Amino acid sequence: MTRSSLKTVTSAFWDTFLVNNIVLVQAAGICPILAIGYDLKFGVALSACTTAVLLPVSLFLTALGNRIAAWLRPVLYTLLSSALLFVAALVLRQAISAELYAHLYVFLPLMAVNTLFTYRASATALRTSLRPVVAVADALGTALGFSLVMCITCALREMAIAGTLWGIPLGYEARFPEAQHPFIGFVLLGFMAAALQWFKQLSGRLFRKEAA
Amino acid sequence: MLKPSIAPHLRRAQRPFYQAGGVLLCLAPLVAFSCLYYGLRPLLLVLIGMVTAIATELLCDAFRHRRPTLNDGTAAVTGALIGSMMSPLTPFWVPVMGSLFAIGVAKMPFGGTGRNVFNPAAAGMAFCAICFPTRLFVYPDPSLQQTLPLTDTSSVITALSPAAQLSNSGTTSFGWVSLLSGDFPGPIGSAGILVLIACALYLYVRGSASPLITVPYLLVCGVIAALFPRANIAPSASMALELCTGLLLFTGVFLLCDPVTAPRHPLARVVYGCLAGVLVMLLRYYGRFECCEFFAVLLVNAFSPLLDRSCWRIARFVSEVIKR
Repeated sequence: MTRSSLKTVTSAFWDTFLVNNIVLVQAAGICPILAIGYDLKFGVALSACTTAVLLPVSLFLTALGNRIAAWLRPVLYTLLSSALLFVAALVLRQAISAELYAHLYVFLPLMAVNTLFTYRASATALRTSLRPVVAVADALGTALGFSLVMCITCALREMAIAGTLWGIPLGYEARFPEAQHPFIGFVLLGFMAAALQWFKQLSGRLFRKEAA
Repeated sequence: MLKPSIAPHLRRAQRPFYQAGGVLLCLAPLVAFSCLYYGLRPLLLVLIGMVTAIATELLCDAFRHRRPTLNDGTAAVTGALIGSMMSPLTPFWVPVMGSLFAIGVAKMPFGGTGRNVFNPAAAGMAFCAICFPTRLFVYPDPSLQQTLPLTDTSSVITALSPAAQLSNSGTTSFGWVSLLSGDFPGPIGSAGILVLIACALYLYVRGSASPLITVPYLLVCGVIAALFPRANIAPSASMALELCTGLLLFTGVFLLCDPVTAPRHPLARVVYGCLAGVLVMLLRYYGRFECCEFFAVLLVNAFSPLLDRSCWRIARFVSEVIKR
């Protein structure tokens, strides 16, 4: 891999992971974060399922290239996502934890029609010249960006609700069970989006200073 | 020479400090009235709300590396309004949480005084109502003249507020005299309808509140109450009960007339008041909480810029048609 193509892959990853984060900048995939983002275990399970679906489907669609019409891609994307999510849900239920599967309830199957996936389908449809490696970096950035936001929200809310992290007590008595309300998730996402903008401004200023 | 200043950009008689002073002055007799019935506890709740709001605003200013904006008095008003909307029995940490949310989430992240989209006091109360409903809507019985203890309130005899009675059984045991004199269980600020009316008149004369918002709001609430009474009572009695109970009047005087979130255009103000009235009554009839006025304020705040824009456009269109 040449230096320029490595740069393209890296920039594709960072762009979707942080700079244009799918949740904090593009406001997609918010629903599951608000509804079940109050336990780190749920967050990690949902993030793993999302990554397991986004990567192969993005790769498959990029491999297909222009062979199918752009308008058909979102439909195909949703169908493929549903099929893969079904497999992921089955693995979660049979091999990992039936209790965790029960907690995730309807939100796991609903991920197939989440804006997160449909948005990626449209983006891939628009950029038909994407090379597979860039498409994978792009999908990986999206999935990890979603996972990062999901896990931070879950960890903060779990710490507030139960005073634990991944079920391990943190040794303080203060509890705020009301953090389970979805609007607390909204408030957290708002502050995280503001923090990301602040970080982007700060890094932009630093880069400009270095360039000068 | 032009002097740059922060929003809201108002005439001298409408400056934030002048308006905040008026509101604080009006809240004082309401709190004093509540203290007559329950002792020092209502005053402490309001003071705690104010101190927390001021401290949160100072912290946020320090975080943003800006000069403290306390001299406009809006943080103190937010804290005092939150304290006044609580029950005298509310634990002291509840107004702390409400003021923290109001200033730290609904006001400062949007840019501070003059830039907040939603009324901070209404946001703080909505937060408390959703998170701590069991702490917020339990009221002491005023007819027993019990001075509330500052620490353990478990021995205090409580009673259902007229608003809760209307929601639960469709009738109420409180008469006209009780409602006008404030001799009924309710939030600190709702005690004394006559005092609230006097406050409203004072704020109108001072220019700190607009009757163009409050009067249509009360009219709409009254008409809905008369047309669709919740209890099996005469329309006039239903109207009086709905208008005097809960935070309906308090909201019309203090929350809806907030100069930052209320529209500027006279016609927009009238529509704003009417819309608030409809939303309040809908939430009262079908909502989960007995005091739901602050949710209606938040909803109607979202329409405020739209109403202002539309009314300015209509006014411009009409003036052009007249010129032709």
